[in-house]
Amino acid sequence: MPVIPKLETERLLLRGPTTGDFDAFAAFYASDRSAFVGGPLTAEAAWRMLAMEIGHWVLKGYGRWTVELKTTGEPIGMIGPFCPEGWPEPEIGWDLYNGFEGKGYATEAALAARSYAYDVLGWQTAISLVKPGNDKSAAVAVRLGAKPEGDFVHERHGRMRVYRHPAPGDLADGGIEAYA
Amino acid sequence: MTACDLPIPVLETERLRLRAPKLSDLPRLTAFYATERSRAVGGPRTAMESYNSLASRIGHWVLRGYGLWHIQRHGDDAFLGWAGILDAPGWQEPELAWTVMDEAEGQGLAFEAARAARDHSARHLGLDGVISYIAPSNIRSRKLAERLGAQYESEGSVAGHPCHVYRHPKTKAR
Repeated sequence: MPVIPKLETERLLLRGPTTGDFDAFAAFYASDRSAFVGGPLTAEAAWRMLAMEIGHWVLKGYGRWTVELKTTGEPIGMIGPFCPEGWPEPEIGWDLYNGFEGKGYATEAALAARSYAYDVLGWQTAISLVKPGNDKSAAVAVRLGAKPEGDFVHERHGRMRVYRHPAPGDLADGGIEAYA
Repeated sequence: MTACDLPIPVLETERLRLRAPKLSDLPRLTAFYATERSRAVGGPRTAMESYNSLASRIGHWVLRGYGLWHIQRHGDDAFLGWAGILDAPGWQEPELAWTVMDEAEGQGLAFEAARAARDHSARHLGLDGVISYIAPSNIRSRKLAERLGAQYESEGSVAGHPCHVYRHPKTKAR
């Protein structure tokens, strides 16, 4: 099996996606909230996308983790370094499933993911793409210190705002150990 | 992480090697999905969708423990088509699927690959007497199913497309 590393934060475990994540993943991608990230999707399309997320790890050596709540083991989202076909450059992506917004989970997981991208993958920069109107996602980007720098139009996802994260050298406590 | 870490066995037949899908297959996969010929198997697809298809084929193996093998001739890396087992929401049960590209057609390669995939799945995966979904217009595929000993079972649909369901014989019956 592919070896996908695990990351831990105070409240969250970031681990490789598995078959058991499918129901939560598909429920999110069946909902209107997923319109900001390419949904809504049928169950079949969601299955293909979950499989694609794993294939992304194999083909690129990185990808998004399933984020699990440490206390309950529930999958609450997909977060991590991501560069599916047609992306302008690698991003830190986050999808938070329904009912888990507003608790700082996306910020907590994305910080760990960004540190991993900088410290382990050696990225010198990172963006995050946010669809217009996805104010909660934009707020996460801003909380992470990212700044808007223009738009990008994707074949399937349409227009997205590009947020540029602070570079590794601009982060005072950017080490992964700060979030582990 | 490399394809070597994947749970994808290599199968050998007289003329063919069935192995994991890999990134260098992408140009041929993209070219295939740009053709009308791909309509029977979910196409046409854009270059982006072809990439996602390649990635999801790999992920399918991880999620299910089985999936599609990509086919090449011995000693020639060129990707000629695929055979293997698919199962996703909307599938009534795991399905033996196969496709060969134009240049590999008419040589019995799809038969050889599909039989090897079917035998492996029956022996090692507990998937015996599987179905195949055949698009009604795909006469070549129907003939191949019949040559493999599969029999028409019912009308069905998969991924929103009506199709015929063929049932393969169980290993003992072959």
